[in-house]
Amino acid sequence: MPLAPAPELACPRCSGHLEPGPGSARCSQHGEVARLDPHGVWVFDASDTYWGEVDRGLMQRVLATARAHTWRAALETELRPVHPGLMNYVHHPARADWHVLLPLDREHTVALDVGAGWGANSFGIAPHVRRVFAAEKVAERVEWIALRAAQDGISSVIPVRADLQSLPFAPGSLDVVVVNGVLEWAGLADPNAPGGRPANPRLLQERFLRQLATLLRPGGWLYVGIENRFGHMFLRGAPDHQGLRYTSLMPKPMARAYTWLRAVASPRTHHVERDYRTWIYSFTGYPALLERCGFTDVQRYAAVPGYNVPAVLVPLATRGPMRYLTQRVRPAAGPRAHLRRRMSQVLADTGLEAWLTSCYALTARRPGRDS
Amino acid sequence: MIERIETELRAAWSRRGEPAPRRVHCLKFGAANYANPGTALVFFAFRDAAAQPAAVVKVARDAAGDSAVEREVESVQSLRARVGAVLARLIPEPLADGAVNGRAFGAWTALGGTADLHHVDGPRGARRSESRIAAALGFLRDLQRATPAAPVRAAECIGPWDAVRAELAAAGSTPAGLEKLAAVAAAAWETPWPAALAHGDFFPGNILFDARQVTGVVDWATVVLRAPVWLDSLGYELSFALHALSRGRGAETAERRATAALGPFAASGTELAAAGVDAGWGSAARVLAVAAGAVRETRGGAARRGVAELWLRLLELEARDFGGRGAP
Repeated sequence: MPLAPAPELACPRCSGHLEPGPGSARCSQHGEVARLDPHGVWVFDASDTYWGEVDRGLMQRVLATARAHTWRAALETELRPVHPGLMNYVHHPARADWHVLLPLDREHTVALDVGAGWGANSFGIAPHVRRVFAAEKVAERVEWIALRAAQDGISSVIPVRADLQSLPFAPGSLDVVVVNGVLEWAGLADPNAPGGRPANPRLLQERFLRQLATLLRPGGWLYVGIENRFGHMFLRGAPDHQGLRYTSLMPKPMARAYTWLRAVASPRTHHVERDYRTWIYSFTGYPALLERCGFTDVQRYAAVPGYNVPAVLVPLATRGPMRYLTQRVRPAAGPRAHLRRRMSQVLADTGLEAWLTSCYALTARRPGRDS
Repeated sequence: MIERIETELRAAWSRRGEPAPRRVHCLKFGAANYANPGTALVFFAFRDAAAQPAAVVKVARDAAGDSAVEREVESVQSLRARVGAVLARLIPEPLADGAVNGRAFGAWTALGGTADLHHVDGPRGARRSESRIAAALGFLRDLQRATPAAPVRAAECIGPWDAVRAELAAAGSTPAGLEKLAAVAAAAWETPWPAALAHGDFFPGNILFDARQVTGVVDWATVVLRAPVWLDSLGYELSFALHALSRGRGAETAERRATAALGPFAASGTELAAAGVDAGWGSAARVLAVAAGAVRETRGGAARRGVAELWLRLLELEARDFGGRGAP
């Protein structure tokens, strides 16, 4: 008997119900829309795209070792010697500490982790939900998630290979959607679409977000982890997602002209993109964007030291918590420690820190009843 | 999770007859460090726009965390009942406990004051902090007077010396270094010490001050009901000493304090460094007891480096509680 797709999965083109076929899933309107790969993963998008924190050759060596031994052994022997700083990034459950912001229920919650990457967030929330779909477009990354889930015997993490602009889920079928470090890339998505990309990356980001709002049940939750375009780290000259400095601080036309002139290979996509398309927003920009896309009740938190390591999550609705934090946790001692501390207190007292914190953790809801 | 915490807190405040806030803001604090995710998530809950939290909440992360949180709930309740009204004011008051999404949680009133992580930051810092250090040690004395217990040997609370030695050896300590360490430690291991309840994690980050007054002591998850009376003060003194030594500032003050406080567990810092004490760290008490000797005789550059390494390891432990920033 053919393996049936999970009930939340649907045709990515019409959201219609999927019927199981031999090694495939069929939509009554569009025919076969997904195939089951040898790892038991539903593949809705089989394009040969690659991007990631490591180059494709290394990723394939990691996978080969994971297949032959274990995923942990693969990290130790292949990844650690080359990228020791990525070890925790790719697997540590503390990366999903943002889950405390959401009312998860391990008996009922069905979550979707969009752009799941190595699956650290999916595996991180798995103990707190009924099941989590790890949607990822890159074949190597999906296989990694599938291997890890199989080797650890975790059935609640379900990898799905799909494009983030055409997610194969039924409308209203999800309780939580996680967009951790993904929204900024949505402006790059679909580069080969008929008619080309819209000139304005925000249109793609909005399309992506509206799609997520549709997939959530009424009252369902969206989580977004993302940088602040005016954050300390960019003010200090950290490169943006496309590898250039200070672009997020510039007006968009200037950033696009600068990127056209100075484009370098992105550390993630490994491609040279001559248009500035990885747009990020500000303290007020994110709520405006989310509300335009059908979300409500947007809550903003400062994610310290960053959204990929949300050790401290500071609610920004009032100044009190940030003021307390600056009093309680002092900068490391040093010749200018007093000055740094005073500065951070001033920023907290005036509320400016909310505008300048490096990363945000955002929650929002789809309007409607709370089930 | 924070919505459910808010619901629990509102119910607790209602039971206590406190006015309901319009909004409750939960700040998730630390304990997400990579080295060890810790056993509990910690939240500070703020009523409305207040700049001081009204409650502190811990939610277990895993099964080990469940028992740690439940133990802290019980410890604080029984401790407050045992120590009398004056000391009880310095220990968080239980507000609520139960489960959130299947994990244990405990909520306590937040105490005023600020943790001072820089008591000893150079000689001037040490001088400025002297009265606060004295106040913290005074709290310990009061706690010990209020909670006396039958005398205890180090072997009982830290573990048999042979086991400790085996752990050190397994961690790569040299046989020669271990022999020298054993000559000092083995006898002291069997000495009966006056005993009392110990906090178990008494370091500056867990002590709150308002000016020179102790306003609270937090994090009672590691209470030891019967421990040598030196246990907490040893850890406390050592945290300053190692910090100062590792920074190369205030070393003289720190050594003086440490030498006076550390007493019987003296081993040569050089020997300890040579022994490659990199072991286990399973028992903070044991680490501190062993490291104590290093401080006492730390005068040479090599030994100081050894102590600095020890301190760095302790920092790693402490950093788990401070969100990756490191403690001092």
